[in-house]
Amino acid sequence: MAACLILALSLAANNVFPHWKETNSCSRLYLTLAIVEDGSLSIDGPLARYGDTQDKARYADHFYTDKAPGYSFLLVPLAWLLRATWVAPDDYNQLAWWLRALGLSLPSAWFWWWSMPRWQRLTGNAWLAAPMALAGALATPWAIYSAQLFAHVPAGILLFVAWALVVPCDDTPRGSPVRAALASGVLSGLAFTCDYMVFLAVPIVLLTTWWAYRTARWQASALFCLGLLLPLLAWAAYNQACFEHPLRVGFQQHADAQYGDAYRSGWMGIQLPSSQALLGLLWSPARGLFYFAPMLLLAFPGWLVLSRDRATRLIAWSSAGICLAIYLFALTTVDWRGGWAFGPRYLVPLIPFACVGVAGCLRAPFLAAMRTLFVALALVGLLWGTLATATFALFPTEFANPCRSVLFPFAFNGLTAPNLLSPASNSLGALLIYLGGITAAWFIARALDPNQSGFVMRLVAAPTLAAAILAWQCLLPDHAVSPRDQAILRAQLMTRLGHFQEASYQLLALPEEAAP
Amino acid sequence: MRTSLLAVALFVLFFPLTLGALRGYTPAPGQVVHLAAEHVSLGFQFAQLGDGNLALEHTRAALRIDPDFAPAHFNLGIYLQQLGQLPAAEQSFQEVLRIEPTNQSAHLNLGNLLATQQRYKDAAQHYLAAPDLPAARENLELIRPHLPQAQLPQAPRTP
Repeated sequence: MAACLILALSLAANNVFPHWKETNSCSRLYLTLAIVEDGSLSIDGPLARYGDTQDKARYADHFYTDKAPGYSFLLVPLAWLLRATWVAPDDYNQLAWWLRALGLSLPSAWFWWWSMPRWQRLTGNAWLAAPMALAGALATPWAIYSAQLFAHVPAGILLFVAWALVVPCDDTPRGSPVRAALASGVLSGLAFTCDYMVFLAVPIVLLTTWWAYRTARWQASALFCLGLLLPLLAWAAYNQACFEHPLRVGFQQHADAQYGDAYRSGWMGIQLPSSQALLGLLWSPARGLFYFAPMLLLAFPGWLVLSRDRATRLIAWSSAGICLAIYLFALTTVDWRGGWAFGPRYLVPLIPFACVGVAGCLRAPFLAAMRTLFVALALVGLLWGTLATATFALFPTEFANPCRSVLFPFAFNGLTAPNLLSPASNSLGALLIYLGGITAAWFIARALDPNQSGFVMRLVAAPTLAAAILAWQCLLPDHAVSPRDQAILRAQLMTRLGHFQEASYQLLALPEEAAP
Repeated sequence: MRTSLLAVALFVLFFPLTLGALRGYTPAPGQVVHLAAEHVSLGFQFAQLGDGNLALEHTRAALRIDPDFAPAHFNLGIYLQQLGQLPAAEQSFQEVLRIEPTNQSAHLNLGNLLATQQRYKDAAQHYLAAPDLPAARENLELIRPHLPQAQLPQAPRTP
């Protein structure tokens, strides 16, 4: 039931924007289409057929995707099948929708369903497995990126499965390392080729492998490295074919002058961490992980709990290490805000690992104290995810508090996103998403456990606490740009959503002043 | 107990840390909010939907904000041409070329506009100023029979 709910809400979040192609997804998809339709690694063909896009690399008079190519390659069989069966040739929007549904939302729902026994083992409570999976999938930015072809979710899935293959979630002795360590290496390598954000996390998985296999450490580590080598060699061959060097990557050849210069600076595009990013990635209302998914705060006490138990010490240390590695690498990106985004998109691959910590926090005897807090914080994340899905999820960086400046105004004014259920931007699809959100909230509230004493008090306390946090979040000012510029940007978002009349009223109401 | 205290401490930290991050937040560098460009973009959407009045209203609003905004003049020229207001459309394309003399799309469209008015010699000059656009070369060939050969050089070919 939980998996069905995750799948239904992820599919509903596959919004359709006939007047807008999101450039990050577009660039990845163009590589898939170039392979399927032209048998080429250059995206010249899709650019000519489906229109230009900002995110692209230019090398030797040809255009390529500027993204990590792994996910585009993983989508090739599915895209080929869709083109060969029911998606009409040259129909970009329909193909993009089906690839998002089958190549992203479905694997995401499968992943959380697959992870449920692990949450059960980590919390030691069968009742909590479904709420944990629902909270991880829907009460964090994962929800938004399981419907956007950004590759953060596939990288998160691949890395977590790779990690789970070598880490016992209980004290079961490890069997033969051959298959698990080799597969873990392959999956870790694939995760890297999908999203460079896991660059520092892969060595942590290797260290974990070394630690986990007490009797065959060197053998398991060697097999992990062997597995890792396979996707890395394929990735290097792709770079060689496109950019004439195995380590020359797409983003270094970015065609956009502004981004290209930035990516070519630093070491392999890696910059010195910005001080603004240190706090901003975790706490800011614009891109803060704990702002959009406050539930993940519980990971810190959870890791402490898990590390005290010998059977779960490795789980705690390695999952925390992977989170730290992804966070540190995200600090070094050209723009830590990630362009138009919901929350800190570069941190999305760490979400399942942070959920490991959250699960640790819900173990007995801490559960009694934590369950109300867990439900309250999860409800906050769920509300933001549901509102963003129903309206507009990818916020321009000019909004310092997009929940206040975009989500609530759009939701209250019925400025909903067109999707498969309501392609004409009416509110039917949004209504179903809201209802789905309420159902998910009920499932998460199951964590309050009606069989335990004090249930009614917890049932009142959790939503009250959530409402208090939400009210405080909405009171925070949005000062990054002037109110006039905010209004212009809101009109831009309304245009993306297809609400042209509302955008027209908004723009024509503004004083006509020359740009400074 | 210690775990619960840690959870509460983190929760309490949430508020000052969020305020600190909010205070230090700035948009990504290089982002420009341009009202005139938004008007032009929205005008284009209305034109696509067949609402010429709103398309014109937004495009003219853009020009009131930024009289030298070439994309607004260009789109205005297209909309006016579609409405049959050819002298006004010609003036809009001329404005684009005043601001961006090498704008080949403007040369092509102005060439087309002049050709429909049988001003072939002027049209040919504009087609010749758009050597990278295949449509300009094709249209030049179409009007060639109407031109005295001595007045017209061969259209340059792009490789």
